[in-house]
Amino acid sequence: VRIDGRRVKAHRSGTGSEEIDFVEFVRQRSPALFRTAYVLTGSQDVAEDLVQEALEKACRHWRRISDAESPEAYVRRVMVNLANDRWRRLGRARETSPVPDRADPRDAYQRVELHDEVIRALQALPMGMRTVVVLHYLHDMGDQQIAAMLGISSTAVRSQLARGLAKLRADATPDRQQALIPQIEGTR
Amino acid sequence: MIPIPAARRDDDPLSAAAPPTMTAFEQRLTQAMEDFANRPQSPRYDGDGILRRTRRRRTLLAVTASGAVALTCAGVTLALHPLGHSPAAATAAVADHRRPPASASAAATATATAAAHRVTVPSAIGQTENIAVRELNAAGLSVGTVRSARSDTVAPGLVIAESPGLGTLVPAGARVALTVSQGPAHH
Repeated sequence: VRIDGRRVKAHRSGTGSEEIDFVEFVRQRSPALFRTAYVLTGSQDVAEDLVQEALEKACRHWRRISDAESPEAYVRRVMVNLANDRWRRLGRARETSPVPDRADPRDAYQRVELHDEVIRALQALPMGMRTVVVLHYLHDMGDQQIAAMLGISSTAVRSQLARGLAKLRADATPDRQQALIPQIEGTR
Repeated sequence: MIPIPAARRDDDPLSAAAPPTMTAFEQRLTQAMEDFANRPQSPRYDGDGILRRTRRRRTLLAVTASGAVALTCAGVTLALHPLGHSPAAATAAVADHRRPPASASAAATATATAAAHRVTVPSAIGQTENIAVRELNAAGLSVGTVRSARSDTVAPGLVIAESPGLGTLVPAGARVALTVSQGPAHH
């Protein structure tokens, strides 16, 4: 209903509805986009820039994007591809900061510690692989959706996912912690 | 206000979503990512500002493009009517010289304005966010990302920092990022 209503409105009144839609979209959906960007880059600054840049790009083509079934998925695609381009441009240098400050000291210390291992391992993955892992586990996206978003084959998605997971498992479970993990996971 | 739904997770019926049975490690990974994503506060993005800049840019491009077209047309007119061949053509050519096409001069003016129009960043520090935004807008600037930070010395809601800083010369319409106090850390 919403999409139909908006389509009709967009065709009738042009720029007026465009304006309301974009500003409202930014207000409501930018926190979600920022979350993705933050997990993807591990850096608040880089994530902020990434979202800002993606929103600006989206604004230029907003009329077309707002007609799409999910504007958010579209903007997320722009953002993810920007992250990958940037990473490639920087000669695969580590653009990410080491895992940032532990923000919430109320969190059980050991749990944060364990999470940090995983996040650190995630940030060490190549960006393409990292993107696939984040889209799959944070956004519950399927192989074909990810493939379409990144412009690669679903076979490539599956292999990147499997390799990424294996690498994460190896990096994030150092021997000294192996004894600790089942115990903590058991409490969840 | 119409709520905009989050991106649907099952846009594509052909692709299976994450299987319900995840290994312990996969669960841990998912949990870690979600917790990590919740750590920072998302900055507030200035949708109005983005929209304004996009419009301004579009207008400028359109004016420049039409100016270029007008200049090209004038050039073609001159080339087709070489001076001195006929009195009428000569008059037309002279008229062209005296009064350049209006849109071409408009384009020149617009470009010159865009290049020359630089403003200094006013101080927004110590003001409430709303007033800071108003003052930046009044100075011909827009607000970039707004983030919050803990501060023991600045009351909550007041601007702690701006970037680029006070007195910096920037192009009109540039974005200034603000940091707003959240008050002291309470631990």
